[in-house]
Amino acid sequence: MTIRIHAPVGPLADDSPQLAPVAPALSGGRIGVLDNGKPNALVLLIRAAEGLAERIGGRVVAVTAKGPRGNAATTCSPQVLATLSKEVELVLTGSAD
Amino acid sequence: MTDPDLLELADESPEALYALLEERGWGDGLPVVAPTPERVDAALAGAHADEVIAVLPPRGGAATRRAIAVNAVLAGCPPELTPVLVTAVRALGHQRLNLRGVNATTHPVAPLVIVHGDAVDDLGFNSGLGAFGPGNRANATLGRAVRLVLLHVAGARPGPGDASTQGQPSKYAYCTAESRSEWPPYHHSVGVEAPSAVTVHCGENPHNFHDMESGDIERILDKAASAMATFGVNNACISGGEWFIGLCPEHAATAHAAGWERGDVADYLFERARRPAGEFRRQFELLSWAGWMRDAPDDEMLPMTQEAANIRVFVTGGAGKHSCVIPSWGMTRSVTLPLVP
Amino acid sequence: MLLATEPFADLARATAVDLGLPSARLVVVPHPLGGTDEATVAAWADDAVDNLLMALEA
Repeated sequence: MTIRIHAPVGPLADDSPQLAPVAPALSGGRIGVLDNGKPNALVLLIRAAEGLAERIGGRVVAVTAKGPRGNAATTCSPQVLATLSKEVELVLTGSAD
Repeated sequence: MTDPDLLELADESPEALYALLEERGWGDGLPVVAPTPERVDAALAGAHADEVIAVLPPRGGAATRRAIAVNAVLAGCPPELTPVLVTAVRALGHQRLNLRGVNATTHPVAPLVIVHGDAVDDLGFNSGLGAFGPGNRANATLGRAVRLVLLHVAGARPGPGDASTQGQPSKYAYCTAESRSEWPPYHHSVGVEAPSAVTVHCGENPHNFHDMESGDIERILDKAASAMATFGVNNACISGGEWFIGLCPEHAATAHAAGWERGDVADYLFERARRPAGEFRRQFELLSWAGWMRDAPDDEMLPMTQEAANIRVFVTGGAGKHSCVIPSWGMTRSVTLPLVP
Repeated sequence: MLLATEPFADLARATAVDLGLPSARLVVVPHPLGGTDEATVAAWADDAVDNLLMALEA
């Protein structure tokens, strides 16, 4: 016999963040690094940022943690984000290990 | 059929339901009860089905009362447990619990639900022998329903939504209840003055310790301290993490007879569960420590958490002299909420 | 711009989609970073630069 059942997933919350636009002119751009605190993340991110800066004629101008005692399990503090948004056009950050 | 929330299943057999869940990537791998509209309505008990109790990451799913009820039915929860499940989900959505991190970490963390107060007996939870399971419907299905909410509403499926390297058995169901003791109930100790309450602590599986011979509370707790003072837990490198100490009633009675309150147990463990600062530094390059701990010389004995108040003592279990310590994932804080019928 | 190690790329993509950012810029690097010597990690960073540029120009 046919039966009907409810799907268990529930609706998605009404939340629609926007992706930041690509900076119109990367050439000469200021690049930042946001450390997630994982082992070797900073080695990877700084080196990649420096490599990118060299290719686009830019500069790595900011390297920061997510906030006091920030790490991969915490969100970035609003103050750090506000500062980065003023200082750089592009931020490199890391996910997971 | 017009309601997009309703699915049609051509065959009412358990096998057909099981196959549907597998096809959709739903479920915890175990058979479930079909969440028919009748059963879901019974679990809702007239509550406003679209009310959002919490928004759960990483999926950003809205844990509506209906979605919670659907998962309660799937897990086999009797309808009278719905308020407990709703309270547990509300706790999961609390900012200090950091559910996004709990689901994203490679650590095997699972939310432990502890039911306190009158609801334990009124709703048939087992706080006695075998309180962590198996064998009791309320403990088993409530714990399982919490996991199903996480899998379905939060999207915490291993891989895209849960990065735990190995997982752990308590990710299937992790619920216990507080036994009566000479002490006021746990929830009163954290300022929740309600007849019943629910605590959610995100941690590891329980680690047992026993002392069958002693009437000396210090000797008993030295074994807990020994189990705590290990580098094999996140508490070793994250000093803000909590510990939950699940004393069995007989150990709790020994403490009470010696004039100890919960806070005295916590203070003692804070002093006794220690390792030299230098050993921590040799084991971890990254230490998320309070400032005063970072400044300690290598030979100073440091505690396994930065303050005694992070050691939470509750009572669970039946006859016998086995207790447990439950380490934290670290970047999370427990939440205790009153149970609203 | 997000860098993720290979086993966690799906988690990063799924999270981006769940957050309503399906086109979040993601570059995948080898795994694991923890326990790998710094010279190797630096070489992985060098190898990632082309992909970073491509992701930025996409």
